[in-house]
Amino acid sequence: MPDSTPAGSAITLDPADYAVISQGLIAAAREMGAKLIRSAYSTIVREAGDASAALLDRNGNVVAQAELIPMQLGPMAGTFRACADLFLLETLEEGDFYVNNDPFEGGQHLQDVFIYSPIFVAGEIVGFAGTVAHHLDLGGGNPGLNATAADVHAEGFIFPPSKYNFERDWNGGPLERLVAANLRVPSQTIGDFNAQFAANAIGAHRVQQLCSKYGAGVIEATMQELLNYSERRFRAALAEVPDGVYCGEDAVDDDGISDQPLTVKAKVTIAGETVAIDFDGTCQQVSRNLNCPFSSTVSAALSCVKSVLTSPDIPFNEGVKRPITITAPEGSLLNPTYPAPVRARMEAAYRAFNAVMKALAQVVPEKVISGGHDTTTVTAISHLGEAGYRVYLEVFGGGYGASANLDGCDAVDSPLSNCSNAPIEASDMDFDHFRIIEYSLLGDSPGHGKLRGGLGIVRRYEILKDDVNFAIYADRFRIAPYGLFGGSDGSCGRCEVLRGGEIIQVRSKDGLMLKKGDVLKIFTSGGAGYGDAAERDPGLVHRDVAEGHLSEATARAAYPHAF
Amino acid sequence: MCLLNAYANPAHEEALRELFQRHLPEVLVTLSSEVTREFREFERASTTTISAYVQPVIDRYIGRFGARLASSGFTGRLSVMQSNGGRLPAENMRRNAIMALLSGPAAGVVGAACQAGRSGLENLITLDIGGTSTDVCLVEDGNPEISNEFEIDKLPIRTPVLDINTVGAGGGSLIWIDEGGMLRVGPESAGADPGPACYQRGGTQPTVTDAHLVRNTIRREAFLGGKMEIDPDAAKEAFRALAGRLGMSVEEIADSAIRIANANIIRAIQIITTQRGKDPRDYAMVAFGGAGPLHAAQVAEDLGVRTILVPPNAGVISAFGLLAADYIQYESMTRRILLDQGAAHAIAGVYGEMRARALAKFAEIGLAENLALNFVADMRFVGQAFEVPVDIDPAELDGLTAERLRDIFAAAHQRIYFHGAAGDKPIEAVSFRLCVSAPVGPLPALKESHDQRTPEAAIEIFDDRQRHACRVLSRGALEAGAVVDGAALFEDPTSTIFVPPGWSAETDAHDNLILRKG
Repeated sequence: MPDSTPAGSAITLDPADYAVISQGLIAAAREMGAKLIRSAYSTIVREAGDASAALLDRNGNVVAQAELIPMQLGPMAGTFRACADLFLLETLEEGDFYVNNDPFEGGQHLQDVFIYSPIFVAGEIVGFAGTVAHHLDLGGGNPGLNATAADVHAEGFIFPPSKYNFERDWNGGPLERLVAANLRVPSQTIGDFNAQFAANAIGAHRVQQLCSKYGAGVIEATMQELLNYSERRFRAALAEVPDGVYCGEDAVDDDGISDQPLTVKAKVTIAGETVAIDFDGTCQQVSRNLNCPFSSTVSAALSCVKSVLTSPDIPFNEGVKRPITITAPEGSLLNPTYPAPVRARMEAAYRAFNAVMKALAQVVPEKVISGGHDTTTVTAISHLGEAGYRVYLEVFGGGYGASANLDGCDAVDSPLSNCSNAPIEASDMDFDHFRIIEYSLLGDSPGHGKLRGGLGIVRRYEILKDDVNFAIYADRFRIAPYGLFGGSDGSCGRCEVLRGGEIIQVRSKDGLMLKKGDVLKIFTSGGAGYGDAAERDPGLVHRDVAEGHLSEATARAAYPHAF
Repeated sequence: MCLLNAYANPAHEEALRELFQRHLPEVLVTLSSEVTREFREFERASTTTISAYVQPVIDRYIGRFGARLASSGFTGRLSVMQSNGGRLPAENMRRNAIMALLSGPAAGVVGAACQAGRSGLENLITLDIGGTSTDVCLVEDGNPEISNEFEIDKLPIRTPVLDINTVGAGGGSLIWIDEGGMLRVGPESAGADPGPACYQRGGTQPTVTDAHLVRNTIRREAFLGGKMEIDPDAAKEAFRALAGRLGMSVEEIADSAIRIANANIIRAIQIITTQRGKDPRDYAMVAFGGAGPLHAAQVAEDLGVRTILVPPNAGVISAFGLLAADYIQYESMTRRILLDQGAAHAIAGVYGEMRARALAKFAEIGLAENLALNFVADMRFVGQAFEVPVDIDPAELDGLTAERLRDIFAAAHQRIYFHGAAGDKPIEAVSFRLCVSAPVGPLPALKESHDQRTPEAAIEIFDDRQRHACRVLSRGALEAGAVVDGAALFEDPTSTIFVPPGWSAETDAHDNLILRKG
């Protein structure tokens, strides 16, 4: 068996074999991800693509990953190790798997369930195939989403780091029965778990094929070299950035109870080929579900640094993490302790992303983007009918921040989550308790500048039944996306319900019962501008007016030089 | 124009068009319901928009072209290649312009499949390697696989197209070392200008063509039938810096680059075979395009494919494909049918409706004889969003049961996704497609020129990490039935065919060169 130390491996790799095998590992991870999504059942996985897949070495280092959801890239190693520490590798048998969704054991929120299957070659483990999917409903205090959860237990079913066997415990076995009994929509969620197991089997199969061709030793050596490769490329990118200490700050609107902003602070220290990010000064953890587990904080900070400083073709694996240190004070919003509720962690994760981005803006202004919608706006519209629960979960896009050379993208999901919309025609087929009556770009929503921010969106739902349960968590309802280098801020989002002649304002973290005939309206924020508006190309201003993205009055006020 | 749910009921789109025609007669209107009848509004709107975008251009072009032909005395029937591998009378193409996208690579697949069929090979992997990219496609029972999803410039398009997978690996693909020290081939290409270093037109970075020249698997005197001057020393020089960085000889690095290029091509084939639950060993390979026959044997060997067919004039087989293509039209329809006892009846109803629509269209273009019908249902477990296409034999429709449909679907799902065969989860059919084709008349034989013969030579090549003695022959010099063992290179005016050690080659009665492993 090969020496599995990262450097100075016992096996000398032929450069062509190395290139071929490493691309093969990446392709296998992508195939896992694509098939997980295409065979999944719940709307959130299959249409929104809220899932990720990876191949890990035998020590749990992510080697190759399907880069679907940046947020899900970070926590693989932590959730794996929590399992491996309790249930040693040596005890694993064919068909065993690790499972973990515990936010205080490396996980994110409960809905993201991580499953790892060992890959055996000739009786030895050469690595693991791992997947994570956002499960539609894992029980808890409210279908889909529980905005008022007092602790993590009210948010759903916890899989502590553990080991089970597929044949014995799943597949009609006791674990599957236990899980199914605790879910509201078991057919969909169990289907999504099966898609995860199958994707793991595919990844294992592809790695076994590579092993039978090149030998397990060569495959393991390639895995180590691929980690070194990503590390080298990341270090090379960091070396280009001037050394120094840079600070940034942003805030979540509120915790859903008081009006107090939740401040997030980042101190970014660049020294040679390394970077250290410290979130000291960030506010204390809160009693509502806005807390961001540390692994989510790590993912957010890592995603920001990688996307700003490096080219996109560096494989995202554990090697990337080696030159970077991330710390956050225990008990803070970005490193909460048990039993803090964490369901809506993305809002704080985005502010961590924004704070790091603002810090980097001081040193690499040409590579950063202004503040955008940068929010996970999640809504759940659910109904208990004769055929059981119907849970509709949707994630909304908004405007991206502008960069040094491009306007912000309109109406897309934010940088960390990368989800797509469920087609309206698919929702129309699947649900009869509401109907979507508007989905459009929100004019006048972007911030102005040499480059403008992207547009937010408007969605309107007509509610078709009584007793429809609505829950939302969102942000940027009070604190707008920030402009950079003279660009103006973007707009804020909002949510309201029209009932009869009355307008009910809904807070960014809220829930209420809807009645037949209600119209629910959701507005998301537009991205902020970059650079001085006086430098904007007048032709672009006129194009935006002609296309209805800016009203003429707004355009005249923001860009007088164009008229 | 794309209205929500118009795939199910186009009445509002049609009414709006009428309004447009009444009040703005100069505006051309394209309806989503006439371009594709499948659900998912974004994909349908994107398809409709691109259709509307290309239609005036193609309409004008075909109009002009037809008028030119007529004025020069042409009295034949002008037809145009479609992306689905079939042809369409030019007049109809003017109304269905989106079907013209990507029709070039499709013609190659059709020509290759037709010529391979003459030698009795009907289950094929086509391998078309050109200057900048490689196109691969799967052919089953003589019919190229169809996909209903593709993208142009990141815009989704939902119309039936040949399921061709493209990867940026061709003769002009650049060979480089990235900042992490990994040897890479492509996807950037030197193109034709400046082209490979050996062209001496200013290109200094090595390409796949340069690598072949260094390994001697392309010979300067035979390049494009000897009609183009290339410089092996410039090719070697281009590799020198890379070779130094990796501590290899120039020949070794060129050989490594070829292996990496082959691996890129192999992954492209795995995407259309193993990733879809199909075993490449069940297929023969057809190699064409300028560089296809040069890489085919080693790509095939890696995949376990043991037979390769190289058609005559392999570099220009797509021209033959244009002649060989059948007339083809597709109908599509989204209708959700739960697989219960009434399902077979409902599906037969859908088939009848689509068949009538398609036959009427064929009658319009004067084709009613010998039509072949191919019916596909897109099925899924209830709750899933992506479907698995399942072939349904129209002849079987009468006796079809829900159990039989369940079995075919579950087997297909298990093959692709590794789960789903067990249990009794509800299944539904969502969309249907009907392909109607009318064959063209008898085709001429395709022959290699036997006039051009150069004397046989013995050379040394560097391949797969070592030197080999290698025969060089003119393809036209090989008589039917004579067997040549590798290592050998066959040269013809449009391509070079490489027979590695362990492979043999012979010409068959249809002038196809057949390569066999072992």
